[in-house]
Amino acid sequence: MKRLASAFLAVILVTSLLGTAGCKQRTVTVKTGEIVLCTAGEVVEDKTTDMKVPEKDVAKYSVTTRIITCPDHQNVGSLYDEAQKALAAGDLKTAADKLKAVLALNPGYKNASSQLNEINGGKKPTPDTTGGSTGSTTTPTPDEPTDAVSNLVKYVPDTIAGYSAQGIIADPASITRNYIPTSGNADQLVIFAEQTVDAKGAQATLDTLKQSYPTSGAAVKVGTKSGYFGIRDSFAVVIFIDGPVVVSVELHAKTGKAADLKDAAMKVAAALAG
Amino acid sequence: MTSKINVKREGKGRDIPGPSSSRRVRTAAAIAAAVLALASAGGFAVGIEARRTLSAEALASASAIASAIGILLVSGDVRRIRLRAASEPLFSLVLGALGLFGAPYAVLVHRYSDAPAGSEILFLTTAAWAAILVLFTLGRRRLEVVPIAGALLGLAGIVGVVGNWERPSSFSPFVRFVPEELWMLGAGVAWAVLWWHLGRARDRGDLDAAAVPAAVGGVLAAAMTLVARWGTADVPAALEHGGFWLYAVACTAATAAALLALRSVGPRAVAAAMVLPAVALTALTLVEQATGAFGPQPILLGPASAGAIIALAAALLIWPREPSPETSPQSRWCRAALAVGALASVVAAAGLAFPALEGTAKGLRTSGAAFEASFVLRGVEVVGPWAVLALAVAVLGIALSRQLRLTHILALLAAAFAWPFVWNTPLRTFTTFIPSEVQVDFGSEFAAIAFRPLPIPVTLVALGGVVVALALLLVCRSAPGNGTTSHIER
Repeated sequence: MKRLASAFLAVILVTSLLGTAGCKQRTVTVKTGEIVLCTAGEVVEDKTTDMKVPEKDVAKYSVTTRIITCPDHQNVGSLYDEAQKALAAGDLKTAADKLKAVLALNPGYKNASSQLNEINGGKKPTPDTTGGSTGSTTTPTPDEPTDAVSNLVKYVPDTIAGYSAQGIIADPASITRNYIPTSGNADQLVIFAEQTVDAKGAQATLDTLKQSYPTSGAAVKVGTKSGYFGIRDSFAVVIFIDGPVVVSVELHAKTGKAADLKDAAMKVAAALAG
Repeated sequence: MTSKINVKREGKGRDIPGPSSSRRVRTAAAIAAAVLALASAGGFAVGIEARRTLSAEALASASAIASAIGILLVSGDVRRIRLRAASEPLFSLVLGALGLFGAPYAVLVHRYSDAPAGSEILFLTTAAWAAILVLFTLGRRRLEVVPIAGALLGLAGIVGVVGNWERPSSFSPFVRFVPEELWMLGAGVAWAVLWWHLGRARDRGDLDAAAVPAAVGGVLAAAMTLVARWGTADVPAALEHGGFWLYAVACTAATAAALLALRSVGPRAVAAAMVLPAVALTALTLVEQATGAFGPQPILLGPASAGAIIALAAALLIWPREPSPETSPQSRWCRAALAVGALASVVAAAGLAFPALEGTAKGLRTSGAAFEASFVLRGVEVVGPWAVLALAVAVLGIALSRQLRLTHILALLAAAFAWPFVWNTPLRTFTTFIPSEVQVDFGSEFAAIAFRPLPIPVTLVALGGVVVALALLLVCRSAPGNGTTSHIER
C-alpha cells in the first residue's frame, strides 16, 4: 500500500511538472498596424489587426497613429469660414446655405447649429472669429469647448530644446506625445494635454491628476498660469491649466531623485505656457 | 568530551526527554507561534522603513545580536550546558552564523529602498522559508504527505493575500529581480538548516547545547562583518535611528518565540508560524479601516481575507502532530474518501495545464506608439489551481495516514469555501514579454493591465472532489471507533 501511495504521488508530481513546464510556447495576441486620425478627433481609418505571436516577439508590435485633416473636415472648415464671412457681410441667405452644408457634413460642428437657428429665428448671429480651418492652432477661447485635437497640438510641439519629439497619440479630447531627452538625467518626457468643458473642469482634472503624484506636492506658477509640481516614484510632473485645457509635463528620472527634475519640467512647462 | 542531557529543560521535568502531551505545552507553543508571526510581521514592516536609510550590515548585525539575545533569554543559564563533543558546538556555531546573520544579511543586501516589491520579499522570506523548513523536516512516513500539502497550500494562500494588496498588484516574483530573489531563497535555506539542526538537537535532548553556540556564531559573524565593513555599516547613524531599535526588538521577540515553539513541539511549529506574517500584516488594515488613520487602503479585503483563511488552514496542516497509535480501520467510507481524494489530486494536477485567466495589457511605447496585447494564463500561473491541488493532496494524505483529525478536516473545508473568493489571483502581474516601458506605467493613466477569469471546469471538478472526499472523511470519522479518540499531539 505504501509503495502504491508513493507511486501515485509521483504520478501527480509528474503531471504537475508537465503542467508547469507546458507543452508548447505561449502565444500572445497583440494589436498591430496604424490608425489614421483626423485632427477633429474622428478615426479616419483603422488599419489595425490582432495577431498571435510568440511571446519573445511581442515587443516588436504596436499601433502607430497618423494624424491628418480629413477631406470632410477640410471642406467643413472652409464652408464654415465662408459662412462666417457671409455673416460678417450681412449676407444671411448665403450664410444659412453654407451653415446647412456644414451641418450636413458634421451636425455638431462649432456654432453652425446655433447660428442657423438664429438666422431661422430672424436674428443675425455674431460671426465666429476663431476660424473653421481645422489645422489652426489658435488658442481656444476660455470656457468654450472647440475642436479638441486641433486646439491641443500647440502643447505638443515638434521642437522642444533638449528633447527629440516622438509620435503623437490623440483622441477626441486629449493629446499625448513622448519625447526622448537628448541630455540630462531624464530618459523620457511625456506631455499630455486634455480639453475640458471649462476652467472649472480643468481644475477638477488637475486635482485628479495631482493624486497620482502625491510626493513633494507644491503649487507653482508656470508663467502667469497656476500649476502643480509633484513626484511619484521616479516620475516628476508639472501640471498647469490654460483656460479649459489641462497640460501635464512628466519627466522620468533615469537615475537619482525625481525631485531633481523639477527645474527641467518647469522649463518645458513654461515654454508650452508661452 | 562527555555530555549530560539537560532533562529538566528538554523533558519538562520528566525523566525521558521529548515531546510533552500536556495541554499547557501545546498552548505555550501556540502562543509562541503567534508571537513569532506577529514579531516577524513587525520586523518586516519596520525593516522596510529602516532599510531606506540604514546599511544592510548594520541591520543584519542588529538582527543577529538581537536573535542571540532572544536565544539566551530562552536558554537561560549557559553555564549548565554540557557538550558531547567539540565538533558539535562548532557545527552549531557555523549554522548560527549562516542562519542568524547570513540569512538576514543576504535578504537585506538584496533589498533596495523600493525593490523588489515588499509583497515579493514578504512572500519569499516567510511562506517560502516555511516551505523550505517543512521540506527539511520531512520524515519517511505516510503522514508526511499532509505537511507537504500544507506547505503548498501556504504558498498559494499567501500569494492570495499579498497578490491582493493592490490592483494592479506589484507581486511578480522572479520576473524583474531574479538574482535578488534567488538570494532570498538561498537565505531561506540557511535559515531552515539552522532550525532543522535545532530541531534535531531538541529530539536528542540537547537543544540548549546547540542553540547557544548558534547564537554565538551569529554574534561572531556580525562582529567580523562590522569590523570588515565599518565604513559602509555606518553604525553611529543606525544607533540614532528609532527603526533600528524597533527592528532589533522584533528580531529578539521572533527568535525567542521561535525557540520556545521549537522547544515545545518541534521545528514544524516554526514553519507553521512563518506562513502567517503576511496574514498578520493584512489584519492591520482592519485597524486602518476602523480608524482611517492612514487614508484609503488599496487592499482588496475580500480576496485577501480568503487567502488568509487558506494560509491559516495551511498552518494547521503544517503544525507538528505525533502520529496516533490508533488509526482508523478501512471502512468503505474511508476507502471511498481515499479514492475520491486520489482522483481529485490527479484532476487538480491536470488543471494546472488548462487556461485559467486572460490578461490584457495596454499602454504607450517609448516611441509614442500604442501597445495592446492579450494573453492567457494557465492554471500553473494562478493561485486557484495550485490551492486545489494542495487541498486534494492534503485530503489524500489524511486518508492515507488514517489519522482523521477534526481540526484538519474543518480547516480544509474552510479553505475550500474560501477558495472561490481568491482563486483568480495571478501569480504575477509583470511578465518578461510586455515591453518594460509599458509595464512601469501600470496603474497610471498611461498603461493598464487587467485579468479576466476563464472557465476552469477541470479545477472545479477537482475542488468538488475535495469537498466530497472531506465529507466522506467526516462520515468515516464518525463511524464507531474511527479516529475520534483523542490523539497525543505535539
